[in-house]
Amino acid sequence: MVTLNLDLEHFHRNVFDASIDIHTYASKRSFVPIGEFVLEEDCAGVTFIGLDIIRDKIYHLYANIINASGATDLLYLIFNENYTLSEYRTEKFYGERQNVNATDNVELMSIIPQYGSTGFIHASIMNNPKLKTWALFRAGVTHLIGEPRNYFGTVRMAPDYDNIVSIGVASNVAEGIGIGSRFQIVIGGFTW
Amino acid sequence: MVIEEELKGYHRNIKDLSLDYYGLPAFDVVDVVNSEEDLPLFEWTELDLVRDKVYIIYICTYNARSTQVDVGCFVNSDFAAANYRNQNCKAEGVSTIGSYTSDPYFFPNFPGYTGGISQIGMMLDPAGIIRMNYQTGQGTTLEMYTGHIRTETAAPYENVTSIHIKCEQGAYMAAGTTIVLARGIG
Repeated sequence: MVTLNLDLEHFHRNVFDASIDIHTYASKRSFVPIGEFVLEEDCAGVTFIGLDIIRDKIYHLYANIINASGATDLLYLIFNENYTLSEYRTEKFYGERQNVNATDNVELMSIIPQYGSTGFIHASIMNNPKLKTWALFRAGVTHLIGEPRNYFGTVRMAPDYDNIVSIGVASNVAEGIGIGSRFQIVIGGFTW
Repeated sequence: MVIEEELKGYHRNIKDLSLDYYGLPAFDVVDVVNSEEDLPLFEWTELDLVRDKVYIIYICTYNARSTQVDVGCFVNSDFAAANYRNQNCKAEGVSTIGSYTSDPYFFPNFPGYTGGISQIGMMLDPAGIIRMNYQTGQGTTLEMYTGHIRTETAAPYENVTSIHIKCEQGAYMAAGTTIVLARGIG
């Protein structure tokens, strides 16, 4: 069993409880941001809690991430604070110069081992009737110095969850999500 | 100078977004479906893509039966698969493959009780062709598709007034299927 080696005490400082303001937006029936923050310190992960995918049907996560470490920064989508990577399945394309490649590595993308390198993620997350959690994502990153790489991918959870109550992004390195990184979560399917 | 004249012309097509648009919702959620029974078809009528500019559809479903049945996105009650063209790329493990077909199927709904997720963006181009980009992740062994569907009809379309999410046959979108329709705000 592979588990991300996170400093959980440090990690949990970067938590946004999206349940507080969510009903403020309920009547708008729109794709509305319900939580966002800009990191004020380097960390290995961020999490939005207070979610309810049964009620809300779909979430969109947007992230702009800065690598504040000197190591290769692998970034993972995390549901319900489950950091066991073997319980995730990922499939993706990535474009690199003239080549299109495919991989089923579990990370969303990798940011090069250079302080200040950046990448972005847009993920759409839903649960299907079989309680399988699915996400589609697009990501872009500086893969080699000065050269971009783009990703189209999908993530599926192996465990069946009755609900998704938290969504986060985690890195394999302690300072993989650097100060100034931005995160936003958007709700997209009101049923009230 | 020709270039300067061209630039002047280009810059007439500017919209200052700082005034009236800030703070408006990004997309209007038109409908959220949470089915209570297995679905062969789900459709919206009385739409107006000319007014709404763009439709975005999200669907998360699974196949509770024993055979694969593809799911398609038909428009304007045109259920003739041959009136659509479809080009996609598929990632599977370490390989990629392209596929060209004459149909609007965006989701190869495999048996195996795993299902998947799709998102579709739809617009009407100036030539009267309805164009859809889609992204689909699905299957027990996990496949990732990115593709493009266009209509192929003798007469151009002037609008999209209905969208039909339809199984190739039978009711293969299982109970509990969630579908979200959003529109741009005209």
